[in-house]
Amino acid sequence: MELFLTRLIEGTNNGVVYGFLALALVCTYRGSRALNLAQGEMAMFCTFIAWELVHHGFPVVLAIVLAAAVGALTGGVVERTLIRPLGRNADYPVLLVCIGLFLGVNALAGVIWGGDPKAFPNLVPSGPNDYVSVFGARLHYQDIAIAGILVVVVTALYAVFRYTRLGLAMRVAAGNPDSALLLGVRVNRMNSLGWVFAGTVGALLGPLIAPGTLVSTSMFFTFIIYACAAATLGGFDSPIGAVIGGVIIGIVENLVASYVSFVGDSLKLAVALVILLIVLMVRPSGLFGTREAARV
Amino acid sequence: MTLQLRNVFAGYGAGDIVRDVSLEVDAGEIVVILGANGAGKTTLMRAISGLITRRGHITFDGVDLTRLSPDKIVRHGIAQVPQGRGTIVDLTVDENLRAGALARRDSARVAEDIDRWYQTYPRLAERRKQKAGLLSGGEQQMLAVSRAMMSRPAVLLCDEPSLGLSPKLVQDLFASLKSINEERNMAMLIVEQNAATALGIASRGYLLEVGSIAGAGDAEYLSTSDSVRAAYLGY
Repeated sequence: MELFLTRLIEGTNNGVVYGFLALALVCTYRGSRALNLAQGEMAMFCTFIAWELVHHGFPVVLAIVLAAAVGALTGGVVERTLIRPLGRNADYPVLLVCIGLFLGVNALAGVIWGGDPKAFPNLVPSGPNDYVSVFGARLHYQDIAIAGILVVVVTALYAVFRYTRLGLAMRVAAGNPDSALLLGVRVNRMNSLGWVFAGTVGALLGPLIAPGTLVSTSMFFTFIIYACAAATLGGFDSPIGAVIGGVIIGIVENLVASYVSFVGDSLKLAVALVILLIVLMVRPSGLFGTREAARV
Repeated sequence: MTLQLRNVFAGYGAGDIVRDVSLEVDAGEIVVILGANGAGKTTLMRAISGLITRRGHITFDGVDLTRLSPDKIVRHGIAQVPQGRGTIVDLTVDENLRAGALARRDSARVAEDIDRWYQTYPRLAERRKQKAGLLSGGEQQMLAVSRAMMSRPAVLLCDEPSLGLSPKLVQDLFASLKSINEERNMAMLIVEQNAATALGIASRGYLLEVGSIAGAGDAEYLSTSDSVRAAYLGY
């Protein structure tokens, strides 16, 4: 029982990270219909900035907040300079630009900060005794903090989309761009804002996982794949779906890896890909997505 | 208060679809544009709303709209019911109506207006919490009209409102457009293939053929003219 719980908690912790990054993917996808494969790299870049700030004596919280601000800014700039000029219905050009951005940002970070992974401090106390015991299984403070921040972020996004004029305008822009224009919504600006949200979310996530993954140019490589699977499972246009999708994938993956002997740690990623494949075959719109989003 | 088009050209890049169109809509009048499939009716509507690039002069109340973006044109009081209704399917009926008021500044009176449209179209009131995509075609058309009206326009552009509706619903819809026109002195520019019904509520009409104005006149004159009858009324 205790072992099962431990594995469940581990899976959930991983899943929270997948869902966190998937949330960023959803933010850009909703408006621009762009799958930003460079989302993880942009988050990585911001994590390096946070590291640099901490290195220069900034408190961790302030460093994370500033990194998130940089993330917001770069999200907006990328949309304005690289994505918007491609126009609407430019799926393949957008995909290519995102891949180019992936390579470019990765190389740039390598040039600036080099190849050696760097340590990053925890946000909350993380000594060997800093955990909550759940029936014997350990729930570490840092993991609780990440999950807590994710809940806050997704709740805030939900509230914005659901209850504010701005959120309504963003949903209208995402749901039917032509109608949105006729109703006076500045669709381009709404899409840009989606990228700003995404950049912020990604930049928040990076420094939170950095104590575990270390800050390196490859810190998001596998996470971006998991995030794509999570967003697909949740439905690519649903923020809450992305988070739930992430958690489901994290749990299923970890349990399968633990209890199916030939999978083990080495084939973990394959579990996520199998889930991705099943979703695409059985229910392409995902658990919470609308049907138009099925063409991913 | 006149919406005026003078020598307007518009298209989608590869050549003009609308060519040298001039027309006028005065305060409180319903003007209909008749034309066959592919005559450029929708292109003309999209040009007025600013969804596509256009040349010439489009003015409203003396303000030049020719170079303005769609969101500015809405704010000058020109709303469009797009072809195919433009329903935002995954928003509720209520949210669709609120979306209609996004260009407005007096958000306090939005709820009041929504209630008024629910009184006009009780079917929408019954379904206010439902996703708009689940509405029938007729209900979606009511939603499209009331959503466009939520911006409190001075001119309402309707692009092929009868599309996909049964004859009975078409009659109801045009009756309702007529009463909106009478109650609010609302100017309307309606593009229609269903010539007989449209001429029934209009005061004037234009004939659009291959992107250009081929004729114009009073509704009464157009509905009795032999050439119009042969080309658009089918009897």
